[in-house]
Amino acid sequence: MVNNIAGLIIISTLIFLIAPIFVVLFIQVYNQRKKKHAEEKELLKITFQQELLKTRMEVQEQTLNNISREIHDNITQVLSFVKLNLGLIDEVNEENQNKITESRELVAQTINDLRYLSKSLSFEYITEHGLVKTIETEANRINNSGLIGISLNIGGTPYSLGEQRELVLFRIFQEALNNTLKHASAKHLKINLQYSKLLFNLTLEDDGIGFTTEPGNNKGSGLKNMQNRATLIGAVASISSAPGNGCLIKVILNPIESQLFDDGTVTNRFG
Amino acid sequence: MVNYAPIIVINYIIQMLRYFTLNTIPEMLCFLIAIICLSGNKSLVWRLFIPYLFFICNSEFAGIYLKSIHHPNQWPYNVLLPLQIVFNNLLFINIYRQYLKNTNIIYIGMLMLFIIYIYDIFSHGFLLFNSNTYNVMSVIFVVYSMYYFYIILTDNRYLNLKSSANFWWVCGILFFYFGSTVVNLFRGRLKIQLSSGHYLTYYIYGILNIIMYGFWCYTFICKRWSTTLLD
Repeated sequence: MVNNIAGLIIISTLIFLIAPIFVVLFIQVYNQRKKKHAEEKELLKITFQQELLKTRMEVQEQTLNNISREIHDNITQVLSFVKLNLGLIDEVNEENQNKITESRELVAQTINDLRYLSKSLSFEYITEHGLVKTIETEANRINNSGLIGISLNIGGTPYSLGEQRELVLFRIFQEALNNTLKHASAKHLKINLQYSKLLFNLTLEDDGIGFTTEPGNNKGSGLKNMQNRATLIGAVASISSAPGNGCLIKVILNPIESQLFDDGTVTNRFG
Repeated sequence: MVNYAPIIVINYIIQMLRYFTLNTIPEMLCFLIAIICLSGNKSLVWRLFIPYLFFICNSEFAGIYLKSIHHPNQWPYNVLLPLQIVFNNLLFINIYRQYLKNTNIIYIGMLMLFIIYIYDIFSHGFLLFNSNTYNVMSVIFVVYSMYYFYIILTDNRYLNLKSSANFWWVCGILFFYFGSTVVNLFRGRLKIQLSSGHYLTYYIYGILNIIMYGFWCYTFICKRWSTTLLD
């Protein structure tokens, strides 16, 4: 009798428990897989976008480098030749001589400007001289042009952040500088580079007309580009501005953290 | 003059009450919910649930009535059996088609069941229940259900299981037919008559029915009011 009841209990348990236990386990496993799949998909999407951005940047750098070489090798050479030819002209009256001298000065000015431009476009120049020197050169050029007053402050002991990172940081600086010159109507631009063991901080602050940083603002694409570039090297770019209050751009980088590029040493990526 | 009308009415109600059993109540509820939820459904297969459940209820009532007049009452279930085979297989085909190009295996299963059904009829006549067909059908449906779970687990598209009508319908099928299979295997040990006059298997099937029709009610509600990735 006891055996019979025990047998009945076992059989009833089989009937009523195995199927629901299976279904509950199945639902758990399914939901876990679904979550994992969604996470993997998201990670793939982010990785793809980063790869896309990286590729775009590589193409950009290569193009800029080519243009830099063309300017240096062709255009400045031709202009030097023009300047030389103008110097060889003699037997002219005083008025024409003044015009020739003026033209020679303008050509010399153009050659200088093109040399600066060539340097700023070339990643080879940037990687050779480092971030600080390159920003200094650019700041001096802008100050000499009289377009805007730039003050450069370097805190801490500068060290190399890696060629790739410094190149990207310089491009961010160029984008910010371009925006200030084109849109801000600013009189002054403060550039601050702070070097410490754990952090590198690049700050650009102008006293221009400012802008609204709300979503949907059409001015956002260049700023988005800056943030994307910063993300690529593991940095964080923050942009704060308000109409009438100028613009403040901060790029913070922890040199020790890993990022998408290699450890910052030379690669053949840009030719 | 004694008024027999109330006694007749009460007697009639008592007679009617015997049709409300552990099996028929969940079936009738499910049928009502099917009418409410599936009447306007675009899919013909899902709309066919309504007449299918109607037949199920009628088969049960016929079985109860025949038993009450002491006639053999197994043959209505033999009438229902081919409907069960066709309808459930049809629904499996409808579900599998969302994942598989080829559903021929289900047609083969259906053919096999009909062959066994005809064999059963020839071997013991129409009045006795075709238990071989039923047993094989239970096993086949359990296999189909497990295969469905395997398919959705390995598919790249993910369902919201909570509101997936297909998933809950298959769960109902799995619970009922898995339970049936186990009962069939241990029928000898479970054939114990209880004090109520029913066998233990009657109560087990009753609970299995409640579970299956409960799942089906939820399925119909999902079908009516939720949208999922694939349903």
